[in-house]
Amino acid sequence: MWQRFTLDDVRTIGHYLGVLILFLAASMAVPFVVALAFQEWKPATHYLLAIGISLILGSGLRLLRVAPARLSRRQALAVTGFAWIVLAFIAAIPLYMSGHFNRFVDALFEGVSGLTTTGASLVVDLDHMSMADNTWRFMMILLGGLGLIVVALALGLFGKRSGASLYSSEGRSDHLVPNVVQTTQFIAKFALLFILAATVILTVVLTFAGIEPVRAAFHSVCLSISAFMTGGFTPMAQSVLYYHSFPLEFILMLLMLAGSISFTLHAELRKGRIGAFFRDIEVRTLVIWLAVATCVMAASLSVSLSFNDLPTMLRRGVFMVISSFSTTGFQNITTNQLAGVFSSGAFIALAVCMAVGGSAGSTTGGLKLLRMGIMAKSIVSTIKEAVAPDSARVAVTYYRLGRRRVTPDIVKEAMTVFVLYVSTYTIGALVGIAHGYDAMQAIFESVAMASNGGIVSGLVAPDMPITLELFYIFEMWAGRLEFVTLLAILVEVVVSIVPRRLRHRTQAQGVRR
Amino acid sequence: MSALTGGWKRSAAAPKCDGCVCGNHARGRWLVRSLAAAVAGAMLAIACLVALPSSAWAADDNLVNPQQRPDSSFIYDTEISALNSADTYYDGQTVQVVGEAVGDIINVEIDGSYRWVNLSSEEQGVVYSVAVHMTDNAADRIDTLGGYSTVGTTLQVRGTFHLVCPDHDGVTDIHADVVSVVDPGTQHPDEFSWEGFIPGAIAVAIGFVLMFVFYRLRERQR
Repeated sequence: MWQRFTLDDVRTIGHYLGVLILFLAASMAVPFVVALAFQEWKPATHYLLAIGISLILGSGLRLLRVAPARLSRRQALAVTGFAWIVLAFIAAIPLYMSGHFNRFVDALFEGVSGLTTTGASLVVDLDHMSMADNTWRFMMILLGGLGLIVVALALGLFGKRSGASLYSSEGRSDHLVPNVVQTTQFIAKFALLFILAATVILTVVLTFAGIEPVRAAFHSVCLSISAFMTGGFTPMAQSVLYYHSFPLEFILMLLMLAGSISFTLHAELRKGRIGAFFRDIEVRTLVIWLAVATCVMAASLSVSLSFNDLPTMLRRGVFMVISSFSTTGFQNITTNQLAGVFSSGAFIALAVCMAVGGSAGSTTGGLKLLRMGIMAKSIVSTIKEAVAPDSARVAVTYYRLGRRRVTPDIVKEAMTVFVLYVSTYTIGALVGIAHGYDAMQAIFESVAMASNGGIVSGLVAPDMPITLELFYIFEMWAGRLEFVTLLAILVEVVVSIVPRRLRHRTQAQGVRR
Repeated sequence: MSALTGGWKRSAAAPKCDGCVCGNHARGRWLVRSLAAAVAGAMLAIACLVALPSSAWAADDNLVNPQQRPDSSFIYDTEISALNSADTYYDGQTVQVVGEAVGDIINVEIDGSYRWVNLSSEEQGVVYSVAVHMTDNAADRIDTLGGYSTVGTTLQVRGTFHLVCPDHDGVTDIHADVVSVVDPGTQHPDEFSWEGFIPGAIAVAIGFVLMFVFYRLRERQR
């Protein structure tokens, strides 16, 4: 029996969405201050107006329910699910006013891409964008990478009562410390420390590369956020290729790798439990998977006409593998090289890397290594059962903060999400093909959107068809929520909209049959 | 090609003098050819003078590229957008592009006497860019780099295009032979005006009033 949203539910959900919008308004103060500091007066007026609109909307929604009760699980799912798209709408307002987008949907695409840390961009003439607008793009990556709910919980915006249900509704289950709020604070502090350290190093590298110190520092902050949050936005149109710097690419690779490992494992390392870190199913799957992907990529490139010498293969190939597996979306080759010069094998290898993604509980997208590891263990278990005597009891275990058994429930969860991801990749590819694009590129782009990978092969462009753009927005949104939250709220919305009498009639006909 | 290297063709209408070796006809042909060559040369010189801007005149290095392939590989006046979707046909060809220098001048790793400059140009609402590898002397001609509120120096670059550059680990670039300044950069900073902030200030004020109303209502419910 499906449950409907009552008016009370809607008011409570509205209240909490209002809280998040007010939080976004406060975040817009950062680009506003940057605009004032660099005397970018036009962007400053845009951000002031956007802050005002957000305050009105946020406060208006909060008035729907002045004293909300504790969030139920259903309401928490709805708040989390809607937050990503509602906040993207608000975030798109100053972006659209910047004049760097052909239509509002493009700015919305940018907002969704930033918040979901996909990294695909529809900015026109990014190289002439203001510092304030660029700051806002990377603020979105920071907020989205940490998780909107995580940040809000860490700041105590939802109070103490609604934390647990909201936290788990964002696809997080790891509890690094017993308290949810403390866990979120740990995640936020840890990420900010990493970003700060990387910013200092990258500033030195870029200053030596000849960039003015202030610009070097700005670019370093942006790149550090984007790499650790596996976002993929860059301040310049040519992505990482713009800097022509191997040291920078090397540091970004380390950051992307760090960002694709779960915060739980980072906490284990911090506690000095190195053994537990290397026994973890995800770390082992990561090592095997990266080795396989790199070998396939190298084999594919070595037989192609270009990129086949060792230094080129190492510099371009390895970077692209790490960028795609971590679902960051940085490119140190051009889109033309990716679509036209890379061998088809290398092209598909990158798509598969994006499809799988990084660790569960990290900032990456995709299927996640944990699920891949569990499914591999499940296959092992099935084979063991097939060859074992009837009287034997087969138990397959994996290591994840202690030894655990592979149970049917865990396998079912992994398989369900796997099927949902693959279905979305397929449907997205068909949508691309239906728009007249090349099948390989359509598959690649669909995977890049649903896995929040962000490496694009040319379909995502300012002049793309609006229907395809809207579908890609849906894919990014669904992929970030790992489908279950989104499907749950979609079902609830449909059930709530369809009149009760019609549903009863349909159910009665079903029973009669 | 044929006009430059193929020689002259006798006009069909011209009077024929088959087998004639007389001095009058030979002198006449020689005079016509000399006159035509002089006129063609003068026209070519005038065309060059008109086509080249004055700044380019001064800046051209007139370098000789010893690796220049025969004329069939020479692609003149290419668009940056064409290079952004180039296939192997363009690889290794000499191209000439015009674009705005944007972003930063970046030192080339290892070789300190070269720089990377990004050239960008707009076509049908889409902005394309290409990396140019040039000497530091050539990069010094850039007076402004494009960014927010600045239009960078417009450069005309002639050089060899590499789809996958063997010297720079596979990057797509142009190795510049000749760099000329077409237009200097300009700056147009935002002008401050209070009027621009008024709609935002009103919206923020309304937002704060609503927040105040919310907190009053919540206090009353307690």
